[in-house]
Amino acid sequence: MPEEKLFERIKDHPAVFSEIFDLYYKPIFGYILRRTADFDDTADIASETFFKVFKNISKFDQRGIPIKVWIYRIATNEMNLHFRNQKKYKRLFENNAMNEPELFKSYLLADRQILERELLLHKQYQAVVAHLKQMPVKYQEVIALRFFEGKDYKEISEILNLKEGILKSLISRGLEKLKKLCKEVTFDGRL
Amino acid sequence: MEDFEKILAELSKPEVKELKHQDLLGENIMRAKNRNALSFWWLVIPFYIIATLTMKTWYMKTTLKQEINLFKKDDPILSVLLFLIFPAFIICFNAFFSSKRTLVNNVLVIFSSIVIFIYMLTCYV
Repeated sequence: MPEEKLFERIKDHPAVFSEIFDLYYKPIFGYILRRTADFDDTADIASETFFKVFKNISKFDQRGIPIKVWIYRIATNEMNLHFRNQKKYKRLFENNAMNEPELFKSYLLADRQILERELLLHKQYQAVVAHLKQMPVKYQEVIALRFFEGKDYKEISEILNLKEGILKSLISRGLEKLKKLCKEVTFDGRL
Repeated sequence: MEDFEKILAELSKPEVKELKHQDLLGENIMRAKNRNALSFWWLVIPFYIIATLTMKTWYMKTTLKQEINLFKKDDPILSVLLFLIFPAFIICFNAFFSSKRTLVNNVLVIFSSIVIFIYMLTCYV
C-alpha cells in the first residue's frame, strides 16, 4: 500500500500502526544492529524507537518528510543518546506490563542466538564497527547510513536534517579518521 | 580513499532475516501506550485541601500545623485518606505498575511524597 494511503488510514484508525510496524521494524532493527553490533542494545533501542513512533504518529506531518525517513531519524537519535550514555533503558520485557513475558523472553533468546551467530560470521565488519564506535557520533551516523545502509546523500540529509554539502564533508573527514583507525584490519588482503 | 570507500561499501554485513519477537512486541507497544500513570488531576484534591488550609492560616493568623491538626480532629478518616493513603497509592501505582516512566510519573511521585511529608511533619513536629 502506498505510504500516503497508509498514513491516511492511520489518522482514522490508529490500530493501522501495526502495518507500519510490520513494514519497518525489521529494516530498522537491522540498521540499529549494524551500528551497535550488540543484540540487547538493539532490541531496547528498536522497541523504544517504535514506542515513540506510535506515541507521535498523530503529530507526524506527512507533507514534510516520508514516514520512513522520520522513523530512521528517531532510530538515529535514540542510538546517539545510547552512544552518548545519556539514556539507560529498562528492558521492555522486564516491565510488568508486558503481555506473555515468558514467551517474549524465549522469542528474544531465540533471536539473540541467531543474530549473534550472524554477527560472528562478519568478523571484518565487527572490527570496522568497533573502530567506528570510537569516533564522534556525527561521523558514525553518516558513515553507517552511507556505507552500511546504502542510503544516498539526499536520503541521509533528510534523515539527519543536514545540508548535502555538510554531509559530504562529514563523510570525507569521517572516512579519513576511520581509515587510520582501521590500519591493522585486513580486508581480504587489500589493506 | 576511493579504495577504502569501495571496501566499506562492499564489506559483508550482518542481515536480519526473521525476528520471532516482532509480533508480540508490536502488540505490547500498542498496549503500553494506553497504560499510563494515574492522571495528575487526582493529586489536585489533597493539594487543594492543603491550599485552602494554607489560605485559612493566612487569614486566621494560625499555623498550618494547627489547621491540619484541626482537620484531623474534625475528620480523622478523611484526613488520613487524603494525606496518607491516597498519595501512597499514587506512589505505589506509578512506581510498580506504570509501564513507562515519564515526566508526569516522576512529578506525581514527588508531589505525593511532599503531601505525605507535610502531613507527617504536622504529626510529629
